[in-house]
Amino acid sequence: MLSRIIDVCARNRFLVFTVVLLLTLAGIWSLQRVPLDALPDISDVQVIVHTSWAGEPPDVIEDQVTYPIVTSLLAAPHVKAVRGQTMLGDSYVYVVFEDGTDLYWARSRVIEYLQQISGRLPEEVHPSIGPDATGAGWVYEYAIVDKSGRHSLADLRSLQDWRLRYALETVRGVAEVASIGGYVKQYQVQLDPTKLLAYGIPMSTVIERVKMSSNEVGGRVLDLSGAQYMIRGLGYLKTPDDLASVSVGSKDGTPVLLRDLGTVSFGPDIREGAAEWNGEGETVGGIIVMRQGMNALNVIDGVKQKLREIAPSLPAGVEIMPGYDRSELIQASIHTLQRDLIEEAIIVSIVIIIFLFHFRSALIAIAALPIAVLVSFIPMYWLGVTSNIMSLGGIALAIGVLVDASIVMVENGYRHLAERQANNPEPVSESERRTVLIDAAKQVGPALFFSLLIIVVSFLPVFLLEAQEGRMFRPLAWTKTLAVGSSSILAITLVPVLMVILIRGRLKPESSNIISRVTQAIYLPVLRFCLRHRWFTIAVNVIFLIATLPLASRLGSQFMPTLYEGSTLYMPTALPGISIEQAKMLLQQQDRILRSFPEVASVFGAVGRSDSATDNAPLDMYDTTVMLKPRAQWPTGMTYDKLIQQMDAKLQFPGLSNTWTMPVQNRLDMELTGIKTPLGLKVQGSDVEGIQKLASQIQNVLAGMPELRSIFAEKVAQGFYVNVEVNRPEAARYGLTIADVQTAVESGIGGQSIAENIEGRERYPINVRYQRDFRDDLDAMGRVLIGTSSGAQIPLGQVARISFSNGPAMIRDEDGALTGYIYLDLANSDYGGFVSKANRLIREKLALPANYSYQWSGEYELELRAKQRLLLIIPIVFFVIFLLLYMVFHSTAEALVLIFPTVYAMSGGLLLQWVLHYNFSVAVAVGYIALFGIVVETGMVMVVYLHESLERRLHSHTTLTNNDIEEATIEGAVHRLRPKLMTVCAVLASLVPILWESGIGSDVMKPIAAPIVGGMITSTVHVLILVPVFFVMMKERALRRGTLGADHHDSTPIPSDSVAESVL
Amino acid sequence: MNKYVVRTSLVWLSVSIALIAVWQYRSHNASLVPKINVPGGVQPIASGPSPRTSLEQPDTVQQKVEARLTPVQLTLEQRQQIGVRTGTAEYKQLSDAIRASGTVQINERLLSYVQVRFSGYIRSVFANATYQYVKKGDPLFTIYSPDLVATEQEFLLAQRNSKTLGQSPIDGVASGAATLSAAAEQRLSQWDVSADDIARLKHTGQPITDVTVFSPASGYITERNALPNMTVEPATRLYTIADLSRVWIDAQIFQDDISRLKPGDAAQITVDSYPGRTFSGRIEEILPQVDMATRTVHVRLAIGNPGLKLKPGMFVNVDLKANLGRQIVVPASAVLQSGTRSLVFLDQGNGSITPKEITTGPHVGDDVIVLNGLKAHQPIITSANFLIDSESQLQAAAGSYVPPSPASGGTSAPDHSRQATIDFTTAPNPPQKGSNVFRVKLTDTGGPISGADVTVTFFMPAMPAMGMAAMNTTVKLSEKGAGVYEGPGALGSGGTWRVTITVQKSGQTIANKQMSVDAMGGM
Repeated sequence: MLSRIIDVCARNRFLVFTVVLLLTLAGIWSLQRVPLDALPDISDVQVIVHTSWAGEPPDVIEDQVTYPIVTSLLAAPHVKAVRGQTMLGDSYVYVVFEDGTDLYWARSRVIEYLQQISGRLPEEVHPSIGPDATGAGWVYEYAIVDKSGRHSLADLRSLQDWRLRYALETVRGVAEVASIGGYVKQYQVQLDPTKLLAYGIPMSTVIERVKMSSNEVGGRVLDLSGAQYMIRGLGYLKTPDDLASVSVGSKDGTPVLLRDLGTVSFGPDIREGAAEWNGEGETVGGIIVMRQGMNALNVIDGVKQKLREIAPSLPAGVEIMPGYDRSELIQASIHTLQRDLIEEAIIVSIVIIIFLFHFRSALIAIAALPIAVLVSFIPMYWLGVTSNIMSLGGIALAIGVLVDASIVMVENGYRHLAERQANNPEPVSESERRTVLIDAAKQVGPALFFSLLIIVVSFLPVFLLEAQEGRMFRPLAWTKTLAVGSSSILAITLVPVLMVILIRGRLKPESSNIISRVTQAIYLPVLRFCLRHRWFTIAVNVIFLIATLPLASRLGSQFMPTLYEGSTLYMPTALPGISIEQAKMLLQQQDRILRSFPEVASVFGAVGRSDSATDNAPLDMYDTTVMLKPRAQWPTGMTYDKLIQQMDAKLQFPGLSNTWTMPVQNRLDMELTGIKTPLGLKVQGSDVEGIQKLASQIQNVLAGMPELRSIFAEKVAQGFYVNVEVNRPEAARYGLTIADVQTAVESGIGGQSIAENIEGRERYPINVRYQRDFRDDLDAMGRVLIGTSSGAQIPLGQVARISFSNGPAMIRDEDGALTGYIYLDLANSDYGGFVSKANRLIREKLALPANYSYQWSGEYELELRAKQRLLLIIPIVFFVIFLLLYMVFHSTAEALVLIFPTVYAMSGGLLLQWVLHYNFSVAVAVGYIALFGIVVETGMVMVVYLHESLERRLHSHTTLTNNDIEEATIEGAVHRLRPKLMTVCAVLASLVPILWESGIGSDVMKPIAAPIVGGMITSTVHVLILVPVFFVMMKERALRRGTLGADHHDSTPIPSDSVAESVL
Repeated sequence: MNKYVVRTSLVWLSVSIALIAVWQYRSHNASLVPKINVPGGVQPIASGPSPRTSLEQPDTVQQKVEARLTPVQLTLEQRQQIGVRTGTAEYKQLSDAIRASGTVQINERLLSYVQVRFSGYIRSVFANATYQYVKKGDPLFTIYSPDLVATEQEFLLAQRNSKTLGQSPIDGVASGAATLSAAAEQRLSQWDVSADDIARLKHTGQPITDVTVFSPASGYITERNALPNMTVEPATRLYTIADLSRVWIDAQIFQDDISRLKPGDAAQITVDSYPGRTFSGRIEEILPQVDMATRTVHVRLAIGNPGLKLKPGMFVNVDLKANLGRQIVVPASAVLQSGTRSLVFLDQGNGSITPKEITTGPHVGDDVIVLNGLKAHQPIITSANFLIDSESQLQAAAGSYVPPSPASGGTSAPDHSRQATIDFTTAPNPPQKGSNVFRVKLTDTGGPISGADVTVTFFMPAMPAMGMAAMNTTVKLSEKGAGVYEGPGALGSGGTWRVTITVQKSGQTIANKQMSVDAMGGM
């Protein structure tokens, strides 16, 4: 069937060209439309439910908001986990859905379930679902800097909130624009309680009057002399003075205005975060959150374009500075890989030209390569695979393999034609040339198709990786598979056509090729020596194998290699409870120090959280983006690690723990389980205080274990609180209810945003509370007045006890249970053993109180899961390869002989991995899986040629001797060295640019490429030397048993159609 | 053919082995569920721990978990970075301020009425407007009183009689006439006829029909009823004159605050109408009843009213100063309320900062009274307390901190007879994530020190937000001779480690050193 395809194609050039041209155009079209990103989005399908309740402490929100939401969502369909996080003023509920759930379907389910509980939540609370994006969608951040000094932070924030935000949200792909820092302007009515008392006006009256002071209404229409006039009642506040003139009551006929009771002014709302630019001072920041699955580069370009459009209308002196720009990373990494791809293509072409030494023939392979790559983008586009380091890396890994089929075919055609010309001085007619070439193509075509199939099939198990690692490597697996697939199809369609067109004229015989001659001259004596000393050769190889395999245990292991992103994220954390003023002061200090490094381009500091649902950072968490200059501009000898160390040494602030990470990596990490140490314990219970106690007990119990390097129980109840505890009998004496007292706490101390004033496009809240002096210490709080029904006003201190206490600073709620984490760091990696031992210890020494439980968790879960998957995948890979080989050769022995090089390849991979200090990771494992396929392919090419030459002897002699077998082997191995070396060199040479690369994105690709390069080197030696040795030994054994002939009938020689036919 | 069968079966065998392997792997997870197969009756599918175990250690969970107080060592640079400022605990004469609202009231003691003691008719009125200011002695109005005129005539008659009869030799006549005259004069003066009028009466001998009534006091007429031609009875209150040169302030104080006040306490009064102006006064009286309507106690302040700025009925702000005596105070910013405790940080000098628990009294202005735990003149940290406390907690959590040996005694510099120098190196230098060799060279004035126990502690604080626990590696070095101590140790991560080296000899710490070391390698 394959031969027939080759035949038909070669004879229908026009059709083939048209189809190829169309496919190429479609490929180019797809290439331009495939979304670009740096790394695949590995985040779960998740929906964030964000509830804001200004000023309320975490435990209040947890009890009244988070817990009802979490419990209601637990039973929603396809929900994997529900995690709640509650902090001052905000509740976040993360609903994680099973892989493969449609995001929009999931969002509808969440809304549906929220609907059911809307009645159970406090009246002023309205949960909303976050944008259809995750933290990984933070693609661009900017700072609004005022150089003129004429605009206050509140002005800048208004500019951001009411102009930039909405303008930028119109950009395609932007899910949300979040604001951080500055002050949110609000009308502040600051009341003097003594005056309230003097005028006998309770706070509730003031609130009620203020509420009624800002609105506009319509009064339908008025028809007048044939015209229609619309009637409106005006009444929005224009200035704070309008508010100050609101009448709140009267005393002896004189109106009491708001200004008589206190002051009215613009002021800042309660701040949840602050932003800082370059150590120069506070600023306002904006964060562009990209919708999931969009083209990050397009989004960023759109945002930049929009900002440029807005620029002329910005207030004078205001500048928008880019604080973080992922497009640089994307462009740099895509650029790196594109350069790699081009370099690879060039190197591979050079290899082909050198080996063939015939430009036109080389052109066939060179032309087929980009077409194969382009064609593979068509299915990529339809599958929604984004163009990123991983997917382009897949192509980069495949390039060496892509040319294999064309090389071997072209080489075969070239050789046949050259032989024909050499044997017969008569000029070759056009039709004869065509027949020779097509026959040559048909001779190797099916086998090559089949060997590419092995590469594809052996790589398929990578698709079995699940969850994060699956999402990370599936794009790579897709592109590699698609590229190899498209190249194998091109090999049997386009390549024969090109051969017919391009291989013509007088061809030099292979023997005249200097490379062939030199390599053969070296190879021949070595092979002869090895065939003579077979057992010695085998022993040397086995010893090598045994010597290298123990390296495996000396290599470290990690989940994923880190990607250098060209920017760094400085994330120190303070203990919970830091005030915004203190945090801000430190932020500016840090930024100034960071800015002083010559490698730093800009520093965009942020502390606390923005108003995005995707941002759940508490105020004790800094998030400072440091954009670095390109490495070329760094002082010589400076590396990223060194730089970070220098920065870290300079930024040793007491009370802060430094963390250095990179933006994309961090956003992805933040979304995963939360426990970043390999091992963690989640302590769950009904009461935060109890959890903290139990956790510290567990810490004490486990602390003595020798396997443990460190253990740290999170202080979940370490927040600072001021409790206002109502003395019920005392309150009753004045006829006050708990609600009366609490309203006083809420509005007097806390301040209530009671209305919203509309000012054109902008909306500002109106807030009423006591003047600062009347609420800024416990004594003053005790004097907050509560109006009673009799008209008397009672100070809070008289009916409530006010005291300091500890309480939760932040509450974690996992699947409806309060949770605290214990972080563990182990000295070894025997997690399973440790867990069972620790469990025993806890059971022996500790009685778990009722309602409390604990469970093990941590990133080790991911690593463990990946490891277990790989333990499953690797045998499958071997088995699939074995099965395919068996189908080809119909001989277990030969299949085994070809499996053996993979073990040998592994040793070479390990060696290089060890030399280059690459830890074991999923990336490395993927590299090995790719390696196995290629190794088997080279082995197969070798065996195919050995069989071919033995076959020839079988046909010419009736009885074969050992010597004949040996000679046939030498002939097959040595004379057909060129195609083998070409394929190997193509693969090796194609990967050199990746190993050589130091650009952005190379950190991830190198660990994948390293085992392939190392493995190819050792396995080629093995294939060239050991495979002939085994082949000879096997055939001699067959000869001794007299089964050689029968054997050959049974196991059909490979270069025929039937094998592939039978398989297909 | 046989061969073929063998091969095929081999293939199928391997297929089935693979399948079994997969199945085994799958069921492996399931088999972790413990199987309880107890015969007899229905078994609960889940049950809590037996009651016995849950009764054990019932109180352990209840005990309070408090962070340990650990001294903190900061370099000068670090102190500057976080803006550490210092101050001292001081004795201060204190008074507590109680804020209240009050109203200006007329000082009752300076209030006077104008009434006449005879009935009559008002003729002309001079002080003819409410709130007119009158000085003492100013004429207010004139009055015609028939009774008065009759009495005047009586007086004049008696005068004449006494004149004519004065020379009378008859004993008793002259004196009788004089007595009569004096009695008439006394009656006039009792009716409040002024001495001037009486003199005029005497002088002219004509009865004064319109008697002028003068103001008895200076002040404002707050009430005026005197109108021309009005009939006046002695009961009629014609004027009320209030002297506003001194006024009362009626301040409303909540019952909880009243115990802190006593008569004589000073008060500052401010009025919104006169920004920047303060009036001072004292508590005259704490009124002995709680106002049932407002649930407040009224406190009366007496206060001068220069320029008569304070108008009765005016709302004023009253700052009452309750005297608290001499107390130790610290700036309020020096105290960290860490939940249930109040902490101050003592500056021990040499960068050493020690947390100290104190008991605080009320806030006074920007200060806090320290009831317990601090002595006067103790140096304390007055800013960045939160960060210092955090640092203390982070170090306590790891237990890595080695406090200065008792011998070094707080602020004074370590005073060892043998001043040891610690020279710390690592191999590789800088150290890396993974295994390293640590080397300490000990020398003092007398050359290398031998026979010491050298401990090196590497500590990296926890990063809870990043999910990283604190790391802590302690290595005991062994002696290699010539004052060199060596030992291998593994670091769990790259980054900045705090290193504490402690040198002990015969159980006595003879030297220690703290520093930061940057390790290579990823986190």
